[in-house]
Formats: sequence, C-alpha cells, structure tokens
Amino acid sequence: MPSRRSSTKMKRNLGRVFFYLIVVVILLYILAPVAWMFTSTVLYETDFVRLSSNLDIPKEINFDYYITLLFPWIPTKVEYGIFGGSWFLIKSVTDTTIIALATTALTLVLGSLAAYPLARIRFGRRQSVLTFMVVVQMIPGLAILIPIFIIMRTLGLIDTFPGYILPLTAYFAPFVAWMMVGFFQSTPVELEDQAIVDGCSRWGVLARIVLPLVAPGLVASAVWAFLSSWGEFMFAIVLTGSQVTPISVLIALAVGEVQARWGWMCAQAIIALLPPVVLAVLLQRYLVKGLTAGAIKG
Amino acid sequence: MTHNGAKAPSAKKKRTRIERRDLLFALLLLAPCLCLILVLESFPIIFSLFLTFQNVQVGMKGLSLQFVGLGNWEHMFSDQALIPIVIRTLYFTSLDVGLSFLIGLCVALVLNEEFRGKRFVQVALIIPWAIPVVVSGRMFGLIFSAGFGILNTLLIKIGLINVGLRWLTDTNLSINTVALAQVWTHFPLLALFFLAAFETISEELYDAAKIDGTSRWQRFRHVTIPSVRNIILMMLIITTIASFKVFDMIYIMTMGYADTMVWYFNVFVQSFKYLYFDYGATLAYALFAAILLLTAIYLRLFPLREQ
Repeated sequence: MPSRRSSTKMKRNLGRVFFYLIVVVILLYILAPVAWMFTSTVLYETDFVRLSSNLDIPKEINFDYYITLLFPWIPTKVEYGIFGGSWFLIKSVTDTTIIALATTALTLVLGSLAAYPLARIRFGRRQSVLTFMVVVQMIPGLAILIPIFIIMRTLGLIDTFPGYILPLTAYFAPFVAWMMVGFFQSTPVELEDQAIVDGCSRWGVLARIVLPLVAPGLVASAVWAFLSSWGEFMFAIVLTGSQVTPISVLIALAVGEVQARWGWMCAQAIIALLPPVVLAVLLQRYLVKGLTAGAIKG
Repeated sequence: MTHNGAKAPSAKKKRTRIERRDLLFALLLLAPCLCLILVLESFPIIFSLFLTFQNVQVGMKGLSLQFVGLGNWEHMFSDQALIPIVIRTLYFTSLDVGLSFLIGLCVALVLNEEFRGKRFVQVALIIPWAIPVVVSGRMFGLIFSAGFGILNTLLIKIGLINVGLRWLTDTNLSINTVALAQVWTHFPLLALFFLAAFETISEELYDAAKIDGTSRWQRFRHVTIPSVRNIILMMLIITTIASFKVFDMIYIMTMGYADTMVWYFNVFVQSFKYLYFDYGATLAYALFAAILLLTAIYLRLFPLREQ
C-alpha cells in the first residue's frame, strides 16, 4: 500500500517535471531568438562572430551601437561606416512615430464611428455594408497597391506622409470597424434606449454612454492599429523612400548596403521592435480580448 | 374608430421622422470611413481589374494603355514559369499553417492548465506577434546564417550535422527556412485563439467525462476538439489566407532567390521590379479570386451573425 501510493506520487511529480520542461521549451522558443539578436548588439563584431561560430564566451559587453545610433554626436569605438555618425535612425524613428500615430488616430476615429451605426441602427443596407466591410478585408494589398502607386505618382504624393498614411488607413479601417461592431453589439441596448427616452440625442448617447462602455475595445483597436502601422512594410517599400523613411524600410534596405554588419542592423531592429512590443506587453489583456472576442462569439 | 384613425398616421409620421433622423445620423457616421475605403480600396481594386485587360507601357511620360482583352489572363494560364511557383506556394502554405497549428495548439493546451508562471508565458506569447515581421526576418537571418550562425554551430556541437547547412541559399532548404521563420510569427495568434476557445468550454462537460472514466486523451479528443471545431476551421482559413500573402519575410530573408519565389512575392516582382503592372494586376486578381473562394466556403460554413 505505501509503496503504491509513493509510486503514484512519483508519477505525478514526474508529470509535473515534464510539464514544466514543456513550459521552458515554449519560453525558450519565444524568447531565445530575441535574446540572441540582442546579444549581437552588445558585442563587438569579432567577439560576436567567435561566440556564434565557436561558443567562445566574450569578455566585455558594450552599448556602442545603440549610442552611435541614438546619440550620433557621441564618438564610440565601433566603426562608423554608413551606419554611424548620422541622424538617419532618429529621423526614421520620428517618421515612423508620425505615421503610426496618425494612422492609429485616423483608423480609430473612422473605424469606430462607422461601426456604431452598423452595430445599432437599423437601416436598409446595413447587412450589405457589413458584408462589404468583410470582403474588403480579403483584398490582397498588392492588388490595390498597383493602382494606388499610379494614383499617388500622378498626384505627386509618393514619398510623402499623406501618400502613405491615407492608403494605410483605408487598408486598416475595415478590420477596426469590424472589431468595434462586436464591441458595440455587446453593450446593453437598454441604457441607450433609456437615454433616448430621457431626451438625449443620438450624438449624446454615443459620446456620453456608448463610447465609455466600449473603451476596452477602443484600446484594443488602437494597439492593433499602432502595431500594424509601425511595422508595415509592403506599402512602405512602394510608397515611401528617402523623404519619408519608415523604420521597416530602413531595416530592409540596410542589407544591400553593407552585407555583414549584423551588429548595426540588429541594433536598429531592436530599437524598431521596442515600441510595439512594450505596448503589446503592457496592454496585452485588452489586445487579446479584442482580437479573439469577435471570433469566439460568432 | 375615428379616434384611432386620426392617431395612427401621426404616430407613423413621427416614427418615420425618427427613422429618417437615425438614417441621417448613420450616414454621417459611416460616410468618412466609407468614402476613404471607396477611394483607396474599391476604386483601386476596380482599376486593377481594368488593368488586367490592358497592355500597360511605362514610359517617360507616364503610362500608356492599350486594350488587349483577355491577353494577360491567357498569358497567365499558359505561363510555364508559374507551375513551380504554384506548387511552392501550396507547399509553403501547408508547412506554415500545419506547423503553426501544431505549435499553437500545444501552447494553448499548456496554457489551459493552471501553473506557476502562467501569466508570464501568456504575456511573452504576444511578443513574436507584436514584433514587426521585417525585424523577425532580420533576426532569423542572423540565426540561420550559414557562415557563423548559431543554429549551425549548435547543431554541429550536438553532433546532428557535420557541416553547416546553407539554410538560406540551398535551393532544397531555403523555402523551409522561410516557413520556419514565418511559423514563429504566426503561432501566437493561433495559440491565443485556441486558448480563448478552450475557455468557453464548460467545466461540467469535463467533469461528466471524468465520471465516465475517460482518459485525458479521450477527453481531449471527444470533448475539447469538437467544442472548438468551428474556431479551428475559421483559423485554418484565416491563417491560410495570411500564409498566401507572405511578403515581408521573403523580402528580408531571400528576396525570392534560391527557389523561394511564391505567388504573392511574384506579384510584387512582376509589378514593381519589372514594372509589368498589367500582368502583376492579373496575378494579384487570381490570388484575390482564390481568397474569395476560400472565404465563400468559410461564410457557407459559418454564416454572418444576424442581430
């Protein structure tokens, strides 16, 4: 009897150990690639190559790549080359911030305003508009990018902020609208009816009662839009260039310039991933709820 | 009678007035969003369709168009170079979707249990999804590097291979490498969806199954999977569409060289490298048609919810 009990206990413990082993493997799978890229940015190139190709433990770490990229006026030990000693990364981060904030604001306002009547007000073509919003999301970006490129070139808007932000907003707005329809539908309609009976206008109801209720949805949409526009690359590579340089374009084009400058390129990449990752981690709850809510309900 | 008769029309009138005001309100809210979508989505997609029937010449003075009927479409259907691209696209998609599903499901099953540090794993899970794909591509380029890449080094150290593999230049290997990198960016969303779906299954179902003396695997097979069947199918379609549209990862990792040219990247190359806007639009439309077909199947399986 005692031996049997201890054997089941051991079995359970073994199961527990095995379970935690899987958890560790998952964590490694998620985090190790990022950690490795970060490692390449805090070592001098020869040290990193030795570590990577022969597992030689390096003796010193440094943040020279970051210092040169973010504070170009401070001299460091890393070679300048085309990557250092200029303001191109700071300019690119500024451009990307402008693009991401503008796109987020526009998508959020347009998308959620459009979502409210689609969720609440009965009008003839409502179902068709809803279907339209879904079908539009199926359009592959490249199918519209060819005409958009032609249009923007004709208007002289290639490599300008509006020439990139407007198509991006149009591309993202249907998804935000679709997500917000779900959030608006989940608010209790009685509150709105009561407010209307009490003499509140439709605008008043929307601004004072409904919008505060869907605040989590707005946060989720905003984070989604920010993340999507921060890292967007396909439209960017066609519609922007040297005047407006999103960070995705900067990273993509770096390889052609200097083939093996991994430290530089990865330091840029780390800087580029920080804003979206920090935002996503901080607001993870909202984001996950927003992304999964619609699908799970339907 | 007369009393009622006199009241009814005015009530009706009032109602239509309210309805009309509501309609105006709805239109005002919808208009900005719809206008933007009409100008920068609907118009371009129609323009693209128009381009597929044209011969487009890009010259110094701009574009010159010439109607060629179904010429581009005939070209597409007789283009021998597309055959390997189609096969590769299907291969890439099955690999990407299959592995993402497998890993996503495993992660969701683990996160469905209660354990210490669960919250940490949950938060970490969002990271691969949040990182811009261009950055992930650069990151995997570093890891898969043939010359000094850490993956080759580790594989050699533990004795799995003798010589480092040319992950990104070996034509037999490169498409798999890109798919592996793409899986890393795709699995978190799947895991999150599965997890959200698992959480909708009531505990009572499991308890009932436990009383019936079922094993863990039986409960998974006969309780969990049927309950999330719809979500699995939906995610299957969404992920397949996303996988068809792989672009960033290919651009960063291989540029379509070393036998990694897939359909969508080919659209880009034809349109913006060779400037064959007409043929590019045709190829893009063919993909759009495939996606719509998939979506139609999806909508048949799960009709849009009506209120």
